[in-house]
Amino acid sequence: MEDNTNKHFKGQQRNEELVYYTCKHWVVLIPLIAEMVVAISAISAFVLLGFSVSEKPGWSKWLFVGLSLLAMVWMHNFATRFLNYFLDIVIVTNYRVLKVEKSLYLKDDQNIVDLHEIQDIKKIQHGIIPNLLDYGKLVIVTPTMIDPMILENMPDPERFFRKVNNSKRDYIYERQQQKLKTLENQNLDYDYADRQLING
Amino acid sequence: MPWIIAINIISLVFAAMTAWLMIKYLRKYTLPHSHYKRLWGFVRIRYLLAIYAFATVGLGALTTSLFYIFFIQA
Repeated sequence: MEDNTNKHFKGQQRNEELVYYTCKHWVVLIPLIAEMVVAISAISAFVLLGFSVSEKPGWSKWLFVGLSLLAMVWMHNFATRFLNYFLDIVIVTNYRVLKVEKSLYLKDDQNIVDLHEIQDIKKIQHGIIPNLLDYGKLVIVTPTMIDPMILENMPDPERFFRKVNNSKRDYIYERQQQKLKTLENQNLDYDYADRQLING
Repeated sequence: MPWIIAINIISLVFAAMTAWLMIKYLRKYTLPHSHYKRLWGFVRIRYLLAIYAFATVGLGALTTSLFYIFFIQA
């Protein structure tokens, strides 16, 4: 069997295969893009203001340095948040569902639910925009967890729902087969022991 | 001028560090492109990193040249 150890995410097991892999819906990037439009407009306005004022007071030099610093900080913050979008992922494997909340500098969380532990999955898709753009919230309930696993802004929740259900069915079938095999082996061992007793 | 140059150097170092961290992560855990075609999966992250590098250098060049035009040349 192929060795998948840490192939596509941290903690991937040797026999674990990817079934579904997604980041959040692009709708979460809309506030970021709006912020970028506002910031570029503000920078352009300050540049034009600088060109329009001919006699600049002495303190304007420090104002310029301060605004440059602000622009730099904003740009790096924006870029980091944009890149973090690609690290914040949800994965379904043949064994479990993983919610990876990672950022480049500050966060590296993993929330895992085993497929056989899943009791209930709720798909919540309320409103015109979520239905139009096909994204929604998924709530995975397990009896052992106090808080359910909540997956916000999931793209194509129906597909995710289907993938988890199919994987869960396959996983449960596989476990049952393994149990049956173990029981059969145990029975064979008992039969052998009985025969040994009768013959002996 | 030294302040602007210092800010730009720190900015370049931070951009390089961010790009390095991202590349390191992506090399370690490869993106499963077969599962990742939908929505924003088609955006190649290396292009985003190139835009980021370009924006960092561009903003640095813009602030330095504007400082020169507004306060040194004038």
